[in-house]
Amino acid sequence: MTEGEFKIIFTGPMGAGKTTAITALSDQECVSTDVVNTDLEQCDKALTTAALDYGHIDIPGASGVRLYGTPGQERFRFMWPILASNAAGVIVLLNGQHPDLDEHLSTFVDAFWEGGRMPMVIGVGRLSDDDFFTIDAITEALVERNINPPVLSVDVRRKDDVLLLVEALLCQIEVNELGLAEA
Amino acid sequence: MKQQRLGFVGLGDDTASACLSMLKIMDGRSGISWSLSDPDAADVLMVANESTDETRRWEHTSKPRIVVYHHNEPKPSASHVLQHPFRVMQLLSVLEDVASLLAPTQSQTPLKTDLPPSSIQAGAEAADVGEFWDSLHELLYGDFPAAAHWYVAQSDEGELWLDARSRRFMADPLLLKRMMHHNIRPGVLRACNAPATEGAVACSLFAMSWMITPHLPAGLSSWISADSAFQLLRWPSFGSLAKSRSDLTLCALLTKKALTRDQVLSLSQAAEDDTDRFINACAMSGLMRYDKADLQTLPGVSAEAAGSRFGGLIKGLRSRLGLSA
Ligand SMILES: Nc1nc2c(ncn2[C@@H]2O[C@H](COP(=O)(O)OP(=O)(O)OP(=O)(O)O)[C@@H](O)[C@H]2O)c(=O)[nH]1
Ligand SMILES: [Mg+2]
Repeated sequence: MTEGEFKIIFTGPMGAGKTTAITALSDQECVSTDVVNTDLEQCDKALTTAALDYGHIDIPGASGVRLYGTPGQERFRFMWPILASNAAGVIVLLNGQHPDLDEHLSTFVDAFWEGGRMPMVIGVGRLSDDDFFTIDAITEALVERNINPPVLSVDVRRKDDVLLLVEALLCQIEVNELGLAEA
Repeated sequence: MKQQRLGFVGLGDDTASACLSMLKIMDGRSGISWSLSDPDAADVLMVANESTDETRRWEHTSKPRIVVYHHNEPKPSASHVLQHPFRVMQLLSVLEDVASLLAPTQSQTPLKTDLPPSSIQAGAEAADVGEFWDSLHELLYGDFPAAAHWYVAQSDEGELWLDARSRRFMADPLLLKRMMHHNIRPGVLRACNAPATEGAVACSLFAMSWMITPHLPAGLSSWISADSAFQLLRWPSFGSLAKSRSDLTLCALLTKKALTRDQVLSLSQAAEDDTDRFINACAMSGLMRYDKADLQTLPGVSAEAAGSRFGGLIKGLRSRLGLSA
């Protein structure tokens, strides 16, 4: 990869909050390609991102941080590996109230986890404050499969929550930089 | 564990399969193991709200029914209802309600070791939270593990109930909110009757440990040897609990590698108190392995970065986002 390039991927099912999260972080207007959603069966909302979201955080003296959001509709799945290559980390956003939460969890985690090489954070939205249970259940379902990223309850409409996701990702990237991982 | 059978009546395939996968997640987390059966053999029915031949057939059954209605339908008047789409938490809670109907006498059977909570002297002596902590450890990990199902600790401001089987606490939600910022000083845990938990909410073992540990005396808990190697089995569920940058760093570090306390301190640059608190809370909640350090296999570590891929970029990003450096 080019020295100084730093790419964070936001992924997750339709309506999980990818566009919202990238917009909260980006210095430029987030470039989304939201179109009228014709797939109301998968998610009942008016707009959906057809291609991808793109945002950018300027960093003085460096090329900055690129933020990519994968399109939520499964038919754009072919774009995931293209986006993931060389990514510094992946933030998976899920809707904690969605009846297919389990399925979403494995779809998106499996696609990006790369056997633990990819730093990952899972943010679950639309949970009540005291709902430790759903978070624990998700974490344990993953641990059973030897997958142990942080799972955090978030509301991406709050910028602090988005920053928490980034923070949890950066902490992992920094630990990887210590060179302990392979030992 | 108790076995109960759940039957579906008139539910769509998506609802039924979501429900099944939730039951799978829940397995072992409530006192009951639920399995699927046909409605005739079921102990409890989950019934669609629509009136069809199938649902009408079960309208007057003596079995407890959970009526599943769609979010754009008015709430049915049945005593157990579930709005579709629902979450694991909501399913668990309605099943627990129904289960309590199925075995009304079971939870009230007095336990041999019982002391009714009322006989514990309230406010006799300001409790030392260390005693609560040690009694919790003894119950969960001691030589004589918990014999009773329920335990209670009296605090200055109310009771904390421990369900020793599911390893969860129950308490008044306001009390739990206060615990996030105050030392409510719960005392020793004692066996008790099943509490009336109406209005109470559950609190995970980790959440309870996280709220208690700031009030413990400094240092590692007495049962943790300072020369252990520590490894975190998974990231704890912080939920809405306060966590700092150094807590997240400790998670990232210790899920990656088993490390001694000294190594953790030098690599994470976390404060000693914060590190000990982290270890104490994770160890109590069963998330931390701590074995006698086998110094040969531990990495020789220095805080020096081993060929950084991103150089100063992370620092730049932190400062741009206003995250602590
Ligand atoms: N109530 C609630 N609403 C949320 C939460 N997170 C996101 N939303 C809302 O959900 C809607 C969908 O968010 P988007 O950011 O468009 O989702 P997306 O992931 O980009 O969706 P696609 O582009 O269709 O894949 C927005 O109106 C958000 O405000 C949450 O935690 N709670
Ligand atoms: Mg979008």
